[in-house]
Amino acid sequence: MKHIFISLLVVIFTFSVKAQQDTPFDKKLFKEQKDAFKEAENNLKIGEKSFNIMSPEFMDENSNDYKIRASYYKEALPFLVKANSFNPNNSQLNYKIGRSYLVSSVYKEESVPHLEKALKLDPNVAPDIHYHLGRAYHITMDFDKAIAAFEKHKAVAAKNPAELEDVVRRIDQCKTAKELVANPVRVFIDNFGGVVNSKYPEYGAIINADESVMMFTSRRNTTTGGGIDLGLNEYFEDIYITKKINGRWSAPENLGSPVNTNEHDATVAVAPDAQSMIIYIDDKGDGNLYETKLIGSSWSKPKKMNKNINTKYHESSASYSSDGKTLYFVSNKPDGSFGNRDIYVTNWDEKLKDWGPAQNLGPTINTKYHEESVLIHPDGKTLYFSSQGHKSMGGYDIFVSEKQANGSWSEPKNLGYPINTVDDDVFFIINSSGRRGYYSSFKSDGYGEKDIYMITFLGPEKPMQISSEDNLLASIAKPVSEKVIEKAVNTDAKRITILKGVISDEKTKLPLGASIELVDVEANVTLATFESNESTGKYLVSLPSGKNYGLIIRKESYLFHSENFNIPESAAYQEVEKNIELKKIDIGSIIVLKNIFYDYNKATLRDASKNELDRLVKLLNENPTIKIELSAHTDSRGGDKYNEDLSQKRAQSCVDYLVKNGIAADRLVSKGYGESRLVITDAEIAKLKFEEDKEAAHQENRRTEFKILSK
Amino acid sequence: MKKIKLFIPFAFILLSANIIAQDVVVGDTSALSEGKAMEIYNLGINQVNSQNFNGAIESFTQAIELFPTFEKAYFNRGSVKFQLKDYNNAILDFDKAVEINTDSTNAHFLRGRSYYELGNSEAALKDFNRATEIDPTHADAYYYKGTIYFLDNKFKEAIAEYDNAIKNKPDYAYAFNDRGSAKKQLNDIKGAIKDYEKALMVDGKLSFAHNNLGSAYRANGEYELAIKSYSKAIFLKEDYFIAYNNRGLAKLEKGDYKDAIKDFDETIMLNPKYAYAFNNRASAKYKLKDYEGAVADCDKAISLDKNYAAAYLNRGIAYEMLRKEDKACEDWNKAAELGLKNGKAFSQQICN
Repeated sequence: MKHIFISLLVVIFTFSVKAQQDTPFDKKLFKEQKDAFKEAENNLKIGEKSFNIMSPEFMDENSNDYKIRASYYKEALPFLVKANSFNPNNSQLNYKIGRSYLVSSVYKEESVPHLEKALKLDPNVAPDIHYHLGRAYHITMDFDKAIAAFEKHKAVAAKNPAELEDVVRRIDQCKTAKELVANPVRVFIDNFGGVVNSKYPEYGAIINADESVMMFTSRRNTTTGGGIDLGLNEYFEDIYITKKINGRWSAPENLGSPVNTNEHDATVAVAPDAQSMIIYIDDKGDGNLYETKLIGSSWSKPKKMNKNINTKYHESSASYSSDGKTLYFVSNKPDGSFGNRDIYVTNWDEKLKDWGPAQNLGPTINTKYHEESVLIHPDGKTLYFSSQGHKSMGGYDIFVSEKQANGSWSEPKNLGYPINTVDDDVFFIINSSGRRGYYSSFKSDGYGEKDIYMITFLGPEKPMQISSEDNLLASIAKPVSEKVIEKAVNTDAKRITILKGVISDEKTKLPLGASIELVDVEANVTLATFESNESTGKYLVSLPSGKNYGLIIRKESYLFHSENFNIPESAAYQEVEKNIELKKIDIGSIIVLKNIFYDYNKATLRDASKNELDRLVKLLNENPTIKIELSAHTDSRGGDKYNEDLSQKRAQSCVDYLVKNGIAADRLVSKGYGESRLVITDAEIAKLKFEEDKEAAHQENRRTEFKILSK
Repeated sequence: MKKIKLFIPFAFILLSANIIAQDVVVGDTSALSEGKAMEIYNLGINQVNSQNFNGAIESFTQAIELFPTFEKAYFNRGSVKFQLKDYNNAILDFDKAVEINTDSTNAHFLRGRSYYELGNSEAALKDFNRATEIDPTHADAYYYKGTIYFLDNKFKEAIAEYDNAIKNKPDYAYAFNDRGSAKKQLNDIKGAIKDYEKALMVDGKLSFAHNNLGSAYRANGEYELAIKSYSKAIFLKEDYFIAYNNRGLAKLEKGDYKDAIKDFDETIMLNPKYAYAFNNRASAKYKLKDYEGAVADCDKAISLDKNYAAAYLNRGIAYEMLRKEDKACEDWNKAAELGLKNGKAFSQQICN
């Protein structure tokens, strides 16, 4: 099994080596295909015959020889391709096919696989294999590979300065191409369409002002006289016309005699008034510019332009300025030239009624390479032309230059990719608005050979308008709810005690209109005096927090009644209902003196008590017969004896004060009851829930009273 | 909020006056009513705190009935009405509060806020000015003055007010944010960035400030930083479609068209009626040469907002690329009609 596997590998290997081998056209190798071999060999011979007519060595692309050689290669190509289909593994054949494709009109890209194969089959297939491969890569826009190939050829090219220059230029073009392709200009390029374009070359479109009539040059089989330019193996050029009718271009018609002749007749330019036209006539290889005028509906016999324009050299393109007084044209005359074809300008001489001497536009425009197909825009200062020089990306590229105020020309600017390509881009015209242009180009998607294309210039990219919003204002993004609520009443205004109630007679329960004196006990000053309602006995007093209030209710023939409200600063709002029953001055009546205060655990009277005692003095003075018992009481806390002693001493303190203030001692009895006469019993206090209520109850029990003993 | 000064405790007025009335009940009813008024008033405050606004209004109303010069009850009722966005009636209460106490900063301030909400910026400004006159440290009043100037496109004046607000409240994140916005409007992008950063130093959770900072970075061409800021905004507020939209734009401007589309997709998920996101997604699709997609998005944007000039303009641009020049021109003309200069320019350039 292992043995079979190895054998198989060897077979595959041998086969693959054979597939890569350079295979000569040797009948011994094709013994079983004698007839086919014979046919292939025959094709090869015919193809090679044409191919070998001219030297395969480097030639200047613009030279006549190069063009002639190209036409032989075109002749050779179909035969070589047939031979190759029989034996695709011949390095020389692939090389020749590759070179032939390279000079063909539209199948240039086909050169790549053949040249690659030739190199693969035989790395030394030809000394210039890398040069042609470089050109093939260049034309297929594989720029890095192209540059690498050209770099390889530099060593070979070194011996021929012209060849080396050519290689270096192509490397530059590849570099330019890379830049331009990376930054394409915004255009639509549309093939002008099958009505106008054909498998034959079309180019040199000129169009009238409203873009309704177009004339162009074509080398098609309908050429006047039907002749073929044997040098190029193509039909002679003729001028055709097409008109836009209802938005569609009509089938082109040959402009006919006398404009078209049996030789080359090509469009060049239309005068601004469209009443005259410049055409190119080959003149047996001389190539001159002729002017024809529209008389009625037919064109006059073309008249050769003067010697300032036409020379024995080749004049091709021209363009009228919008005022018709200046003419730009192209000539390859060597006189004053910067090399090959250059652009010249001539002005209309009013005196002579003819064109004056021509001047070369100068080195800013003209290069040592070819300039071609000039067009001056109706603005009179924008010049479009094609050039192989400047910063071309390959072949002719279209450039634009502006005439400056001082008459000089600005540095020509490449119109950019995809208007320009790696191949020839020539015969550019642009409409007055600058919105549309027309030019000729080889493109693989065309109808064959050169076609006329329409360019729609989109201009700089139209910026789309984006929309965004921010939350610029915080208060709008995230509104803060303004929770401004006045709460001050909670702490300040509420700090008040509303004291209200009804004042009545203790016995009859009838309401009494009594006087109410509000005193600040500590300061011993009267704050206000009120009266209760006579008929209802109702009263109401507001007591702001932060004071120890004494409230004394008086009524003639009644004993005064005192209340004490010590309301600390922190006290919250409260309403206290206090019904007060006034007692007549009767024996046995007891009045609690609520505004008598002692020092803590002592019998010493505090100053605050004096007001109350003074009232008692007053009462005793007003009622000189009455005798009273002054008693003091403690709460239930503390020892009984202690409480009794303390209360006795306190009662005595009061009696002492009264005596000191002029009351006869015999009217006064002091009595300390201790905790024996509680107003609120311990059992009752125990039932109270809150500590402060219990404390208030104890407070109620701690008291000083007086009782009327006799009247 | 600043505390308002208490009006003179009425109890003292009562006490200092030696009231000797024929009918003590009548004479003293006021005191009783005031006490009651206060009780009810406090109940109202509790109701406000427990979000029972209607109850609170009722309580403050009762307090006012019992005590017709109860400034705080008027103020609080106004304040509750303000919270309920009943600005007109709030103003009536603040009017009364101001009548009782002409120096009430808060009544002036909230009345100013009410006028502001009603769009009467002139009256609002008057009240805010009075508030800062009474209390020159009233940062909020300065802040809202700034807002009014900002909305009136008087950005320099706005900045001066924000300066005052910040001077009196150095950690005033909102004022920093808004001052940043005013600076941005004046094209002082660096100043704006600084202020937004300060706002975020005070309160790093302000999603809108992160968004605004992102937009300031965007305006400065600092797309990476912009994207970071927008991402923070989104992190803090998951449904922040505005920030998603803006992040999409930063990515669009940075050239990340596909990522931009993802953000616009997200924006649309969060807010399917956000015409901006459709319009912007059209831009991203256009950049990716998806012209049909761009047209479809513009269609949607226009269906959401028939007067969306930018969407017409953009659809025209996409149509041009689709070689539909007639439709492009129609759209550009519409955009021009809606006031877009570029609509006119494109139309003049192409639609002859």
